Amino acid sequence: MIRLSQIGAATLAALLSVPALAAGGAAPAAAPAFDSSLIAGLGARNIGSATMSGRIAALAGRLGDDGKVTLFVGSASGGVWRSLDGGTTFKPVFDKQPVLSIGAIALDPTNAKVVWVGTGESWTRNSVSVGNGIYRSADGGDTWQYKGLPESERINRILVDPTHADTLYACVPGKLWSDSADRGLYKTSDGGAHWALVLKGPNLSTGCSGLTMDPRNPKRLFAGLWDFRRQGWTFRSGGNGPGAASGSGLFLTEDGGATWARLDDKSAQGLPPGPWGRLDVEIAPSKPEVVYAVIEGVRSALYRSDDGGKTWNERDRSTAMVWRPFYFSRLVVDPSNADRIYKPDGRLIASEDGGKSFADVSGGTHGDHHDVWINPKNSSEVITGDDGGLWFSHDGGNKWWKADNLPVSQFYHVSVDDRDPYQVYGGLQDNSSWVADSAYPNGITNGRWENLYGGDGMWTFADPTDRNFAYAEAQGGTIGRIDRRSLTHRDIQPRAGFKEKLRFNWNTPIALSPHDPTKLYLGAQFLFLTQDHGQSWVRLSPDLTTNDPEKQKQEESGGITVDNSAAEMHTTIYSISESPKDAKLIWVGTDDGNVQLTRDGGGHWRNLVGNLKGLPPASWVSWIEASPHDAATVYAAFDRHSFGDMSPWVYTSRDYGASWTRLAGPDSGIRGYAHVIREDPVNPRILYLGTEYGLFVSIDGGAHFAEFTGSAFPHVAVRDLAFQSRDQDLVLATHGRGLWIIDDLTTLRALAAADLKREFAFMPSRPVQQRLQGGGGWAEGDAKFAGANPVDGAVISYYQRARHVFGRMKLEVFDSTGTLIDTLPATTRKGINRVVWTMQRDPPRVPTAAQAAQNGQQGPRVLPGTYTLRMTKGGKVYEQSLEVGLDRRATYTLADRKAQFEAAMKAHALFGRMTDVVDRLNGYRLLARQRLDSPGAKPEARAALEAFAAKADELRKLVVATKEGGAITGEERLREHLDYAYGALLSYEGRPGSYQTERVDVLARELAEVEAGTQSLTSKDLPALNAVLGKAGAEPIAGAEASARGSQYAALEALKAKEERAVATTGRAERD
Amino acid sequence: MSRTLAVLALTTGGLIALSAPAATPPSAEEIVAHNVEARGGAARLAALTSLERTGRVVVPGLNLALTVRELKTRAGQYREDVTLQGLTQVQAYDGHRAWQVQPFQGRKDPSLMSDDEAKGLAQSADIELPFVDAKRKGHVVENLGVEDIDGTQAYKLRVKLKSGNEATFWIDPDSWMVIRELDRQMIRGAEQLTETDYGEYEKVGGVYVPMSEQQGPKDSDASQKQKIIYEKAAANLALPASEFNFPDLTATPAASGAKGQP
Repeated sequence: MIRLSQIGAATLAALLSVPALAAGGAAPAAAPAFDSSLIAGLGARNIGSATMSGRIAALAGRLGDDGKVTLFVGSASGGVWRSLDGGTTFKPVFDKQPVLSIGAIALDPTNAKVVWVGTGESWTRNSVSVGNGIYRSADGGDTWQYKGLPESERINRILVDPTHADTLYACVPGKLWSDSADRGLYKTSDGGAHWALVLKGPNLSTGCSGLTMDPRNPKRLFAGLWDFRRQGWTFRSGGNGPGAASGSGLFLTEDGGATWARLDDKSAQGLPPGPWGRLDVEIAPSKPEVVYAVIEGVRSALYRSDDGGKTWNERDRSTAMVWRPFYFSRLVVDPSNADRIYKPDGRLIASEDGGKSFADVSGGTHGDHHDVWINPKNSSEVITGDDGGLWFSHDGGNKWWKADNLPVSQFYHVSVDDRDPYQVYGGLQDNSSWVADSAYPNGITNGRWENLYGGDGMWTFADPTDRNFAYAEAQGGTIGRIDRRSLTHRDIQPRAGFKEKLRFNWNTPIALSPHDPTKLYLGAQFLFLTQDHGQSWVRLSPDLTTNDPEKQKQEESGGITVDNSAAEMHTTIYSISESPKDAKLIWVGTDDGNVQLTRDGGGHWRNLVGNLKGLPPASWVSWIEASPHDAATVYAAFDRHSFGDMSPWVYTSRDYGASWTRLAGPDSGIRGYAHVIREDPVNPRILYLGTEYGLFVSIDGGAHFAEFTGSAFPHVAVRDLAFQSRDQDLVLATHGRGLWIIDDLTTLRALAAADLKREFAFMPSRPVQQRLQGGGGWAEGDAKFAGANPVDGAVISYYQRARHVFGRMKLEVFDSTGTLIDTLPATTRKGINRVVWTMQRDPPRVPTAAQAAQNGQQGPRVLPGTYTLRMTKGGKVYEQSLEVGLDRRATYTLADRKAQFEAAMKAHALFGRMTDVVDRLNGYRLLARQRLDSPGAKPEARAALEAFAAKADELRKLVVATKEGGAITGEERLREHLDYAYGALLSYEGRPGSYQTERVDVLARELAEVEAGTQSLTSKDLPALNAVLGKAGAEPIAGAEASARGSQYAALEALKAKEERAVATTGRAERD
Repeated sequence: MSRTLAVLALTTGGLIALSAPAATPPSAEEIVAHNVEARGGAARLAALTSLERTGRVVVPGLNLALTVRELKTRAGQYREDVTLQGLTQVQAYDGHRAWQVQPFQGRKDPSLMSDDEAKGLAQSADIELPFVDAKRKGHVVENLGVEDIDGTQAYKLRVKLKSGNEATFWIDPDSWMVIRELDRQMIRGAEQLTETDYGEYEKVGGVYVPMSEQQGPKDSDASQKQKIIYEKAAANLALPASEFNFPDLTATPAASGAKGQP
């Protein structure tokens, strides 16, 4: 080891020497703009889960010539995932694109590398995301080119003309929340350079919902049009709109879209009378005169034509066929059997008789199916995507195997507890409420997630008064208190009074008090409070909403098919925040645009929305948050996407809502409508804003925001944020890619106060613990997702104004005596960097043997204490101290830890003594061998050399195992015994057992005998040998030289190679 | 210096004089030319006949005493030795086939590596990087525009290698050094993606070479990547064929310059 005090001036100068081009760091000392690059180095880890995966909206598969299936999976809000091995493993391939909501995937039948993706899911539930057009990949999904249709918002189907692959059709339902002329069926004849709207509806609410192409004649297509509209309080699928007749209909072209014929009950016998709603149409690939259509209407049903669409017959109209057409409207016909048809719906149903009858083939799937892919060469291989993820069937769709490797879970909310490691709680779209570990030895596998409740999961909290309980909530305010020991729950939803209806939002807010752990709030149109775990509730407010009756007609919602699932419940409380600075100050935001404040614990309320200048009326309050630092400060986010406005609306007030300032608007660089705004619990200048397209961070109170892109964090919706104050972590609830954790915000907080003009600066991190290193998990194959753990070690953070390219960056760690402990590889990125120090001493010097010693590969962890970090970069030296402590869960004392360290270091030193002995003995062997190989070696010298080398080898074999040929030889010598003893000492960092330390002492005594033998060899045998050599005219062997030679692995290897050749010649099984 | 490299050097000089900032995005050829010039120029690059780097390997979460020695030659030979406790793992490519020694569990006899694995070593053997003189090597270079790499708007070049594998490079627009590489290898028909970040460039034989490499899965954080810190490097050493040849082959002459190019 190098001691600091031993570094002389010349050495230091050499260390600090700078290559000429390192002056590249001599850039103007201007502070870089606050952007993504400065904070990306914080990193983030995805903990999933894939247990409850998420909604799959579209599927495409290609059967390769080698029999392998390449799959493309379009998730509702988590991008495109590609599998090159039939689903064993998946990778996200669309993450660099600006949107992750997928509506359609098409594979070019003429080119295996060309993939088309239409963004914007068309399964238009209340929480559906949005897209921005169509993309093409020419390299199988590795890279993508944007191909237009920017105002499409959602795309339902893409078809490629197999005779001319630059001709494509894109079926565009269009905007869900607003009128738009950019919808209908689009066609391009030049690979997406230009698009023509070849079929459109009669009004601005009708788009394309179905499309199919005749495989024999690609100019012959059927298309379905769908008239639809969603608002915050209602939904209409089909039927007549408020100002126009329904535009839904079925159309046929024979000339590639130039002209269209409308097919209805008048022009095509057997079709139902209008008005219609959503419809899909599908030609049977193996028999194109067979055409199926599922049509939402007053008599919703499946229809079949056997004459190419001229006449139709009604087929199945069971509930499973016609349920919720806005959400389930795909028909999939087996490519090789015109009579086998799948209808994804709440259940997956299949017909073997051309649609006359259907059987439920959902098996053990989650349910709520949206698409199906069938292997064109093997109809038994079926894949379906539903609200729970992706499923494989190998028996034609009877039994299903779940994909456990798609972490596209759609969280609404997240919270944390104070366990260690802390646990995370959250509810997911149609996937219940769950709890999981934030860290677990060897990864947070799917099995570490525990289901708490049911339904569409929303807010979920640990009960702060009793860790055996949690609160969870399903859609519509269905709150329960769960006993985690038995997983039983008690329904504690407040009930209505006489002739009263409580209005609970789909995503009803519940909130904990930051002051009183017994307090739990819940919002209907009234604010409720319980302080006895739901045994009783009190109302803290009158109706805080507009109570607009026009927005309370949910029983009429759905359009032709009534659909009133609580998803459209409106005029409700949507966000609640009790001020951390004042328990009587409570903010409430409503979905119909009210911003309510009480400063006396609910005695009096004031609606302050009128003070928000520029905010359009009735804007949905997606988040309201009292500042943790200042009672007068509040933040509010408004989500206006349900009015067709996708821009962020975020405000703050610093005077109890009397006046407001807009923080995020069209010019802020922030993309997407706002879901959540939170002020950092430590630094009020830091704000975190989650939008439909990601996480945005400000370090200057909202003047500037930068998107967080660390660890390839995708442009996914961030719906909630939770702080774990003890560990300084931020947990992100994404709606499409599960939970992510940014470990340790300490560094970001320091960045907010840092001088960004500095070329380099160490940044603080949270206190370093030497975490207990457990073992867990087991081999689960390649098809399982496992969430990432926090890094194991001391995280060293620093800031760089610019990327370091030329010359060395040396990061050294010194202990309190100035001894160099470790030199770490530095990272070179711009902005925040994080380097992990294992806190291990160097491994011992281990004597070479037949195999590597397992435990001797590592050194013990250093003792807790103060260490000094030194960065040498660009001719400058920077230092910072680092405090290392025990794991707070440790059950041993620092004195115990020291005893363990000393015992381990004693064994560590013993390895070194062994190495010295073996090196010397190997040196003797090497030197003797060299002399034996000398052409002029005389017989008397040869005999003496052989005897001397043999004696050295006998001693060596007392120290190390030398038998080769395989891992399990059973040969144990001193080194192997010490390796076991050393491993035992490393396995537990508390006080070692006396038998363990005594074992090391015993081995030391045994080694001492070999050392004595070696000394005797040196002091007696070697002089005698040298005398013989001298008489024979040969060069004597020097003891010091032997030791040096023995430590030269290359020389030893040469010796061994020679011996190996001898083995090959003689065929001996054992070399030595 | 090859004729092609000489032309590139001349072109590059003109480009650099006219550049900063370029009005239009540079072409793939221009990016390559900038890179070659920034590394030391085509003449020096062409004069590089061999490269040896020695250093240590840092495995995430461990503090192992792993040393590494890497050799590559213009003849397309490659060898990497990783030593632990006096035992040395070897992976080598002689220009035609790849072999290895895996000694840590008691076997030191060499074994052949698969043809698919050999392609990867052949790629590593390219002393000047595959996008240089790509056409002669049978590779195809594509310009994929600009992409953000940890805050650097880097030029992105994808090289479709003659072997069927792919290597994508991101080049820093200020220094023109490669800062990241993504290798796609097909092993038994299955894709393997390896991402390597490069830094701490130093001149060796007149050519800038990276002295730190951080390698791991695609899109992995630095903390998940294995690091190699090269402490020493030397150029144009006379390296015997025995360093690269399968050990049971005796007295095999070194592959000629024409052979062994990836």
